[in-house]
Amino acid sequence: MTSQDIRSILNLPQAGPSTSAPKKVSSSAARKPDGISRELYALIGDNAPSLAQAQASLAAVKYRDRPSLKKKVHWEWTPFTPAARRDNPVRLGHWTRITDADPESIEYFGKFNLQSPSVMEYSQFEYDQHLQDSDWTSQETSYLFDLLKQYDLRFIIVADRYEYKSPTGQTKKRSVEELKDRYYTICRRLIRTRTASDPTAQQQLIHAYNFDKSREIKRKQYASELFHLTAAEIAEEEALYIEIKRMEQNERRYRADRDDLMRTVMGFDSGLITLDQSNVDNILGVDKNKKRKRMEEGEPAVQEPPPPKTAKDSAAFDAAHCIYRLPPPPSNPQSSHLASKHPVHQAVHLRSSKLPLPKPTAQIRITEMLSELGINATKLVMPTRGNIEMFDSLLQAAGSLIDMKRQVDRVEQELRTVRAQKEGLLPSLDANRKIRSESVASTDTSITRRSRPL
Amino acid sequence: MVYNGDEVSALVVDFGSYTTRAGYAGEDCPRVICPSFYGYTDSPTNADANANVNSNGEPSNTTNGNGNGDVDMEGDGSEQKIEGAAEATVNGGDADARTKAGSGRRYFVGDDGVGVWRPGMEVGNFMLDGVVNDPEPAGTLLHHILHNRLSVDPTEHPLMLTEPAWNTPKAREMLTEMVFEGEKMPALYFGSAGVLSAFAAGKPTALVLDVGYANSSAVPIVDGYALRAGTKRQPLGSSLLVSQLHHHFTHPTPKRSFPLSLLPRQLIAKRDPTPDPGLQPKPLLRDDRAPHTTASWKLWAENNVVENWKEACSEVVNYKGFDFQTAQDLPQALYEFPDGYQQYFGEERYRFTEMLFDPKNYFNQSIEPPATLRATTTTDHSHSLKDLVSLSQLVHDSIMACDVDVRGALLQNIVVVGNTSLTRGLTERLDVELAALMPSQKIKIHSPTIPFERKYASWVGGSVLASLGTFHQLWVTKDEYEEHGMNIVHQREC
Repeated sequence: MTSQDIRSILNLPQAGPSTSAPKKVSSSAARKPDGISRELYALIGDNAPSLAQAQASLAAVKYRDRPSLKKKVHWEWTPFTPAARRDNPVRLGHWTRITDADPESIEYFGKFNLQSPSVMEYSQFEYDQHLQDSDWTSQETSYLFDLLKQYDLRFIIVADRYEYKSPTGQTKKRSVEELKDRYYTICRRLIRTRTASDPTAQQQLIHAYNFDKSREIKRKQYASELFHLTAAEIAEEEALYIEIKRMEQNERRYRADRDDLMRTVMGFDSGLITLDQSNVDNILGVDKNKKRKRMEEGEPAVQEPPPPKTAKDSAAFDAAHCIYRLPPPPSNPQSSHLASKHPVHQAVHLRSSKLPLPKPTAQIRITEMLSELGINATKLVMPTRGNIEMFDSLLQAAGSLIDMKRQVDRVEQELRTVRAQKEGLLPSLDANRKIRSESVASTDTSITRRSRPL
Repeated sequence: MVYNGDEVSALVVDFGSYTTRAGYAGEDCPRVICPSFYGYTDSPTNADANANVNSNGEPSNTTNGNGNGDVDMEGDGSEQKIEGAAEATVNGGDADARTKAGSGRRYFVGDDGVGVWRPGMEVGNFMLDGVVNDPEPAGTLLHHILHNRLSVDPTEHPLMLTEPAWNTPKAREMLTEMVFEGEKMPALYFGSAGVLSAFAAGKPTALVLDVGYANSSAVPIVDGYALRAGTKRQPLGSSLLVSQLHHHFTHPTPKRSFPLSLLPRQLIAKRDPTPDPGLQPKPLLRDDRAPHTTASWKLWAENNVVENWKEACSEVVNYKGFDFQTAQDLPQALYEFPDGYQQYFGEERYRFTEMLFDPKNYFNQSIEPPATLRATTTTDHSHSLKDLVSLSQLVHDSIMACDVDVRGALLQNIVVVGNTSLTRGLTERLDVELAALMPSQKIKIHSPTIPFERKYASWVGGSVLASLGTFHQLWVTKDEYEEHGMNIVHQREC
């Protein structure tokens, strides 16, 4: 039974082309190259061409014609004129291949010949009308233009070669600025006098030929001064540059830190940005220190709660649920309006975590004292508002107590020393004081010495 | 297919104070390099007189590079035989012409000219202060190069000659005559050596410091034009250095109780190496040659020996203010002279080259300098022997004489060329010294690493320029020369 019979039974259309596809595969599979086992060849698959096939296609690549060595190549010495010298012919020669002589080949290089920039030209009439100059004679002007033409407007070289022999027999040298000034003045005058179709283009051209001689001379003076700097001057300049860079960087970092801090802690802008940009002098180190101190003093003042601004209808709700709201932080008059409109989000936190920490020196003694009293120093069992306030006042009282104790200890110690002195057990107080005053004096000098380079 | 387009097979000849270079334009290396020194004998009859001098049958081909065998086979090496081997003398009708013009003087030029010992041969140099001074030997050498070495028909090839930035109109006219009327060449062009050296380094704007044989010169180049204002030169080069070294070697020193003979190979028959360094050698001399050796040839040969020592041994210390009295621990090098003397050389290798950077302290004025160096006088653009300045100062002065706007570009493109610049450590030292002179400026020194590119930089640049198609409009042709005369040569310059 063939597939045709099955198709006729199932009323399927006769598919002619489909039968040819598997046939093709089998035919390509049958073309197994020699020297390779059938199993291995089957593994290669259809789409990977064998090396032999690849090489067969490679052989079909057409190489460029190799010069046939059998053909005799005839070279001949032919005279010609280079393309660069059409106007001024010279008979030079070179060896050319006669077999495919091509006169165009010489022209081929002609297109690389340079055309020099155009130098303005003037007529004698124009010179008499507009271009008169007390310092320049007509002959010298034309001498200048000849040189400019010869050296393609390279003024530095023209000035180097400039040796005008005046009719009186003197040779004259002129500076680059003089030459430029004369040429550009002539150009401007010529453009202005000649009628132009487009006035704006004319103005542009005049502008392009603008030349300020005195300014140019001044510029060159400044530039030449740079060549005479000594090593010490350069070192100083560099040090100053580094210093100002460092200051700028410090200022920027400080500002960023402050902004960050103000935003996270209090949720409003520090307002320093405007302050800094308006006042550039503030980048000096002394001012910076002052400012930092001022800001540190200012911080606790800001923390004090201003009059509450909560909505009246929510007050009853709050009272019922024992909710005590902190007033929103005051909007800094200097900060941007954006900050007041969109207060910075504050994360949820325990108010107890905002308790001021006791001084680190006194902390250990406070903890000791609290443990004597039987109170946990780190955590309250019931941290309500009232409890926290009481705990805070307790800590403050403990702190002041410890301070007081320390003072008393010191006074007692002094008392004891004086008493001992009286009995002649210790050296006199005067000697002691002398030593101290000396050490103070020495530290003073060191401070002044350090402050000078700043 | 473009084969050789507008190539015109030009020749480039570069006359230098020490060597003359010649070759085809477009090639990367000169084909012919021969000394600019020439030998000459004045009496036209000395050839007969010499026949019996050399009767022991040993022609002086000790330095003969060709090593032509036929000379040895011939046996009694007379003047003519040597001449034939060397191919150096002007021959045939040309020689007669020269003899008529130049009062019976015979010239020996080329590789085998001055380097071959000939009885009674004097030595001269046709260059003076970097400029071709003596047309006759220069013409002979040009003829030798064109006909014997390159073997070309001069009427077919345009010629590019190099000239220093301070070339005189007289020298230029002389060379033009030589080329158009002597050799009948179709076209000529004078390339400024400094500009060509800059082109060889691939820079249109550069400051070229050329430390050569007779002179050291600094030439500022802007857009391919040498600026006259900043061109500075002084006779501080290999020649002066060698004369100082020559004095040092030919006089006893605290460490050496005897003077060195500095005998060249041509005057030594046999020598045995001394068993230990520092001993006085006892070479077997060629006594037959001694009475017929002229003083000028002897000096040339001795200077050559010193020059070889200089090239092999000398170095420059890399910072200023080195104390040669106390510092004895400089690296030593063993060198053997042709007469067999060998020694470890230490501070001498460094002390004399220090003259290049500190002529005030290290140039010994009491030693008679070569007479040719006295030709340079003190002007705005040159220093005489009396007031030499250091190389770094020369560069500094040259740059400061230029317009402010180009100084920066020049400092960034300092090209150091010339044979003496190959002294080890010279460019490094120059960098240090320039940085001290101009601390505010960025300085970049470019010096080719391949020795011949530095020695023959101006030839290489000429080869590049003459092979460019756009260059052809600059040739001065023979027709133009005949029509306009010398003026056209002076006009067309680069």
